[in-house]
Amino acid sequence: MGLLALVAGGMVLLIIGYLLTNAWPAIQAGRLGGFFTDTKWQPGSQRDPRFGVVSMLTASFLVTFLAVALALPVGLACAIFHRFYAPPVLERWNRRMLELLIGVPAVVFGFWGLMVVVPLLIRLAPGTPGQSLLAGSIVLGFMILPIITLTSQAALQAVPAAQLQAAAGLGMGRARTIWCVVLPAAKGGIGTGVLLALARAIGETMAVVLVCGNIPQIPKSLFDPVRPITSTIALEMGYATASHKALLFCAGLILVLCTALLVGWISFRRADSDPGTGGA
Amino acid sequence: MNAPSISLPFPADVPAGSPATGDATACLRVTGLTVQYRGFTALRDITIDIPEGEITALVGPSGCGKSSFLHSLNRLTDLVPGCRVTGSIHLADGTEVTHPKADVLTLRGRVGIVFQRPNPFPQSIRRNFEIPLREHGWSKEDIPDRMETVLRQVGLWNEVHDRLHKSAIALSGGQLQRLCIARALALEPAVILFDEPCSALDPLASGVVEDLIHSLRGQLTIVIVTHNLAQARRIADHAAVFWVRDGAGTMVEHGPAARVFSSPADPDAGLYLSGARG
Repeated sequence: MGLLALVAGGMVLLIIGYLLTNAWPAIQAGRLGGFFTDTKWQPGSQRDPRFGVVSMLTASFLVTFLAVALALPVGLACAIFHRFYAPPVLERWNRRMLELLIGVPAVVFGFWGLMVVVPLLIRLAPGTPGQSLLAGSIVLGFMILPIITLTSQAALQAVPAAQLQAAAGLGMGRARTIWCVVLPAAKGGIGTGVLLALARAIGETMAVVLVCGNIPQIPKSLFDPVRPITSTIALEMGYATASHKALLFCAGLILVLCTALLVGWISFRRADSDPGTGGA
Repeated sequence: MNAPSISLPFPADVPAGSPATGDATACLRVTGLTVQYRGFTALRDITIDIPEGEITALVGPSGCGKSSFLHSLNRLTDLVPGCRVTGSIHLADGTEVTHPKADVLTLRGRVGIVFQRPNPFPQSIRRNFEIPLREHGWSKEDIPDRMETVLRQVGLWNEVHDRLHKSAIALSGGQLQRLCIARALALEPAVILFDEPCSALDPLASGVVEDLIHSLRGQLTIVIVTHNLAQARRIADHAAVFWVRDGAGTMVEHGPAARVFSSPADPDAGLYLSGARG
């Protein structure tokens, strides 16, 4: 049993090792410099190979942060409604629905984005392709909405009853109690939920492949098509050879590193926050 | 904000420990109060007048409904799902506490409460005053003065005046409880309910808080639940003894503290107060 546990934990080291081994040819050949200085991504070109990933990294981060920016207010409002306003029956049903939403496969989300969100954006901004940074953010936003809602709700529920009693004893209304007492006490837990959502969003592939437009460029507007790094790997791995393949592994390595940083930050915050005060 | 002013200097002008006059007007008039939790009767048929400006101590063994009684006085029982309160409670000005359409938030500003465990908000000391005072309509400019007045009143000003921006939870237990008392006082209540305010404190801090409560006598009406009979003897003008009868908490004895403690009429109360039972 201990061995099995070690295998599970060791898996991540195996993956990173595997990525490093496969990325090594590119690193050794000194291609990494071009990674961040080249403006174009045309690794397969015989005449003028270029390996710039900056545009794709930018796309990944933009899509992710926009998704969180869209999902956080909605998710937080939803959590507050569940915790303090909704009748128990409604709360239970809505929470079940959100739990189901977590289980919806990414490809279905992408499909929905393609059929619903993209046409909507085309109507909103005629002349644009629809598949865009904004489309990706909206679809990703829905995907992480349940994560943000459920973790926020747990954080709100973890606020000690004594705090609510104190507020009630001072004749404070629900709105001020939530705003001035509950949210400050729960902000640590909510922050952890946001980081989890970020980690989930930045690695998402299937949905963004379908709705982002897949043009590697630094977007000038929300309606420009972009190509996050995950899409690039998914789209090109099938036919990539030799050095091109190694470069894709490099890109994957960067992605793992970003996620690892986020996860590390989460555990650091957890260790740091005092449970008695909700990390405030 | 039309509650009687309590911004008297510390200590109080009224000499602490002066004997109960007995002719004080009732600040809270409780009639036929019964508290039930999902059918279980925690407290049955309590009728008592709580005299204005004096200290009324509620004593009795655990589980006899003292806290339920206290919490019904400012409708904190509303927070407990399945809790049903019948009977009536009136304030001196005629406000019916138990009325279903009573303005509960204003009421709780006038009938404040201090709990057993100090429960400051885990924010700065200043925020602990700003949050409730803003709720009750105080302007930002008036808050610092009000905060200083009540912090002086509880004897905490000299200890915290240079760290008002720091987190309240860094204070010691006794300081925290005095902070919570100051926070309740800040709203200018007519009544403060104390729910075993010293039982989570060490003896020294307990003494400080007890003296503080005693010093408030005459400025506002105080109702205190305590398990410390010696403490009740020291500070109370009036005493009420609660006991479990027929499976429900009830009040078996009440009146001027000196009389209740020296010659209780109820045999259970007598044994309890003499330390032979409970």
